[in-house]
Amino acid sequence: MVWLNGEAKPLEGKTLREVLEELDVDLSRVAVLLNEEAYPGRELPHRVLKEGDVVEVVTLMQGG
Amino acid sequence: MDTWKVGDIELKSRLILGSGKFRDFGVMREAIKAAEAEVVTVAIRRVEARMPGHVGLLEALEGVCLLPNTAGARTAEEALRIARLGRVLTGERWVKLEVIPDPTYLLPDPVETLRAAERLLQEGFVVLPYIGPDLVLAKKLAALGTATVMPLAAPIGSGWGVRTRALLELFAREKASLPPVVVDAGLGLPSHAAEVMEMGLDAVLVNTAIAEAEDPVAMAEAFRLGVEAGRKAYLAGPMRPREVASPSSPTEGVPLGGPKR
Repeated sequence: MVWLNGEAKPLEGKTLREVLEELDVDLSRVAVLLNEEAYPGRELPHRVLKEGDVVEVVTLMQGG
Repeated sequence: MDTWKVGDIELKSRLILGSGKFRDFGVMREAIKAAEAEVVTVAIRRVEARMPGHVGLLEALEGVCLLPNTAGARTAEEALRIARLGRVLTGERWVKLEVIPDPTYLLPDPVETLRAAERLLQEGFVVLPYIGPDLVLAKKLAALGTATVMPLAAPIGSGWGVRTRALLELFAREKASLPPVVVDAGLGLPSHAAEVMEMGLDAVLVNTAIAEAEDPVAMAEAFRLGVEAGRKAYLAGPMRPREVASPSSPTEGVPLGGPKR
């Protein structure tokens, strides 16, 4: 299983880009944390996800 | 020109706005304009599938400097993670550091904040830490090289006003050994903002008091005026309070219709 935004999902074998395409988000407006490395949505490393990977996909929100 | 600096960024406005809780982006944008704010904070959150994310938010915040925060972090490690993502999203090196373990009072964790600040500074961040009104902690953060210290006036979103005044006065007294002091959290009225500016502190950060006002745009303007009034009063050199009254009119020559007093 791969942890995607806090939920365990069977995403092993997929690339980061494929996962983001399935989320259907605007790549220019997200950042991705793969394990502890942060990447802009448009500059994702070509990386096939494997068991135990932790992926966070985030964006800016209103906040004080 | 009366300016102040956060790191190497020179600012005219001493009112930083939080972007949370506004009912829509249009009101938020108008409020930012009325406040004449140059810096606005934003949060970092997970996206949901097929959610537009911050569509419209960036457009509404065009022309201001975005200051990403680490709100939601309960530990230094979480704050570091959020800060790195904020840097990627905004392209900015600065971060409003918040490490808050307790959701009831939303008080910042001094130990984790200090740890996170140290790591963030090593990674090249410009750090604006949110802290309790703790001068010892503020000096430790200053020694590390944070760009500001941001002591609270009262708990976040409470609107209680300057409940920590006695301790903030120590910050004012020790200004020379501190980076700019930005009073963050708990201000509910423009008079609260004026009060801390009159003390000689450098700036305020306001969110809930403006966003939750019936008319956020008018309240943003009122806060701008409060900050400006307080700052001008500080620069003007306030009188010293006396223990007894002091007449404003001459005491001699009062036409009493009788003998001189």
